[in-house]
Amino acid sequence: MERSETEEKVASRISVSRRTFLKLLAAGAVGFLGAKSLDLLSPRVTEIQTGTTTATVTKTATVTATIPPASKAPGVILVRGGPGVSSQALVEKALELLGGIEKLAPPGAGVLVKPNVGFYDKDAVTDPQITAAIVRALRRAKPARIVVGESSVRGNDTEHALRVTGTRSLAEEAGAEVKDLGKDPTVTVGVPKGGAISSVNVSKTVRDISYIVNVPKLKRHSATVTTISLKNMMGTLPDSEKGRFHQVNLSQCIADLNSVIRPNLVIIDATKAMTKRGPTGGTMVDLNLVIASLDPVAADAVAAEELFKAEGASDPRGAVSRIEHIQRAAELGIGVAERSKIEVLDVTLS
Amino acid sequence: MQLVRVVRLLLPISVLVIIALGPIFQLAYGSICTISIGSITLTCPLGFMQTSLASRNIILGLLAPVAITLAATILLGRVFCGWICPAGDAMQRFGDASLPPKLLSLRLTSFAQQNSTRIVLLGSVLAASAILRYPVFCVVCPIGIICRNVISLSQYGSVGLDLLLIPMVAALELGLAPWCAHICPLGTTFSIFSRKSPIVPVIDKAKCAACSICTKVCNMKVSLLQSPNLEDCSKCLECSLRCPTRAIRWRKRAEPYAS
Amino acid sequence: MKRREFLKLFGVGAAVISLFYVLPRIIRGKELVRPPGALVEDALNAVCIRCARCAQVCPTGAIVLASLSDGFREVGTPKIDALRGPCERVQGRCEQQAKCAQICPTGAIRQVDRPNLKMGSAVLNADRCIAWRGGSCLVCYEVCPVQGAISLIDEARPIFNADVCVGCGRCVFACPAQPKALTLASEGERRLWPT
Repeated sequence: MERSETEEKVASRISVSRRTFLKLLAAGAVGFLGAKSLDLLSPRVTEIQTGTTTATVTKTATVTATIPPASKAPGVILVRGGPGVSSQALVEKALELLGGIEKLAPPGAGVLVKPNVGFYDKDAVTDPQITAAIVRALRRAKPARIVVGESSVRGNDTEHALRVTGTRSLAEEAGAEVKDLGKDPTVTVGVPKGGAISSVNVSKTVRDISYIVNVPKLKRHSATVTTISLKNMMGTLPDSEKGRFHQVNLSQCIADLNSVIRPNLVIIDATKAMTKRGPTGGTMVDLNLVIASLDPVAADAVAAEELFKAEGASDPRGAVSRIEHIQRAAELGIGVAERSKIEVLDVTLS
Repeated sequence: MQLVRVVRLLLPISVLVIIALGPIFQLAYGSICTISIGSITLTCPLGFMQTSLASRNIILGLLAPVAITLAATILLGRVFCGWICPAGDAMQRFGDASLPPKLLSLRLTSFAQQNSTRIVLLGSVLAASAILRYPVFCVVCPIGIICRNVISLSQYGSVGLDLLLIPMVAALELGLAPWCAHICPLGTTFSIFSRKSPIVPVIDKAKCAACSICTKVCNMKVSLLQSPNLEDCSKCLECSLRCPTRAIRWRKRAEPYAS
Repeated sequence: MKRREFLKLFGVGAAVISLFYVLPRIIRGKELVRPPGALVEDALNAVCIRCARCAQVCPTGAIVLASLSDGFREVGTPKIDALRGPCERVQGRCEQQAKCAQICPTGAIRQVDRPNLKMGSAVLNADRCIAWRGGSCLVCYEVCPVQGAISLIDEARPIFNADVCVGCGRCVFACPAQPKALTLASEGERRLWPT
């Protein structure tokens, strides 16, 4: 082809030499393969971390309810409401009988309220009215901050669950900061007395907070028989850690977790309990009951007994003694599971 | 750099940014194949034709979007090619580089560059879609590939092997004919609807020096100096910017300088 | 000259059509799990304009675009990747209506009611399942939004009922086993005929 000078100039401006083209293609291929091998171009896949890390970090500024000496039996309060009694009233009465929130939560502390908001279904989560009532009560103790936090069941979007159950709006209205703990950075905490794990990864907020109020819902559970206070603490874990618990030994891991991330105050929402089947799809029973204690194991044991009674079980206490994670937690010294050693105060508001 | 050239460079990039970020801010959804910005939806007319033929059904949901796109084309010509298309430049460069100039024979080149060839390419893409029951060009369309990879990059940080189809498809033209002017079936579709485009480049006979620079710099190979194929004009303004005697203006259709 | 010209052009056309005939047969498609309310496979591949709007709008990111390894004809069409997230049409953000069906401009994905909702079924690999290997795990059972899709043997080991399962992929996503004991297959899927 004949080309004039201008044509040549123009042609060279708009064309690329073959060498350059091949170089570009080679560079692109190398770059692509290199990035793929470095996983820069791979889709994010949730990796479950197995193995342990050795970093041991202890909670700072912890106000832990001490395990009571043997002479004083742990107390569990049962507050029942007649028709028309509000959840606010039940919560207030429970706190009063425990000595008053001002005597329980230290002033100027960071407080975490941990309800069960693992699912989108309102029947499967803590009644947001209960959560809000607790937040309002806590404000009297003049804390530095109140965080209502949760990390929902794997596969559920925590933000959506917080919103669709009404937890976010009611908790924020009551004056709390609502957080998706799954979006927190993860820190490792050592588990010195662990039966199955020697360290656990938890949300940073949970490790650094001073006072934990655990607000579980009273429910049955397919794998652990019941899910109450001890199991509810799994909502402080990142998704990968939840998976690890199932891989290793779920009941022992729950106990191990509670031995280092121990709730200071437990208020169980048993206003509507899930019977027969759980953690979803069970039969809801109106109990209008709130169970409170400083001992998470005792709280679980008493609450599970109430659940079995509501189902009409013939030997509720026997059934409780067969719940593995409660027994393991008792063995680790987190609390008392033996019913005869638990002092129960049962009141009814009308 | 000239403002016009800056905008011509940034506008396609901005469109890709809108495609990547639009859903996050709920302002825009889709890709160049079908895009909604606010309440306005536009769609690729070639995609519309292929899917309608492949499914033996006029896709009603696309009727309004394709009408808007074609209306814009009738008015503004191949302005998509000049200002929005993210693929044209890459396709031209890959195509040019795919065969050394020595192997290009004049006969093959003129066959590849004649009008009937690109019409046949468009026609066979449509025929293939109708016969084979899938929108054949949508799979290999460099615009589609770029958009889909931008989306998967922003959504989950990965790109696909289909990116390699871009240079491969460009190389198919063997350097015989530049992509935008002579091969791209979407461009051919736009040309068909641009025949009556009202604003076109017009040469002022008094100032013209007949140097042919306008023809040489034109990306769409509009031979402005003699029998210009104005339906291919993408309004990129390059000819008027480069004319040494500033003889080119943009106005309503009139007879250009004939040598 | 005219005839030669015509033959050359005919050759070009024939080459294009043959190319697009042969390529899907070389780069074969495999059975993909499609979003809920998708058309039957041939109709879907005909009508999908590969615009990627469905992938953008899916709230869990479950919809991804098929790549070359999924087949030449299928490139750019939507498929469900349960490892990225579950489909929330049965329970969650798309309960009222599927966002993907709402945004699809060509009708490749359409709104369907509950009885017609079935993207596929979950398939269990018992060798990898924690519960079936003696451990304590029923996460799949816990997260399943459809009563009866998963039942328990001895209240400890899950079995899957493909007839009831909707194929939402929640169990697949949540399964904590490594490697995963569950996959989502297109078995039993319900697709729509284009009207």
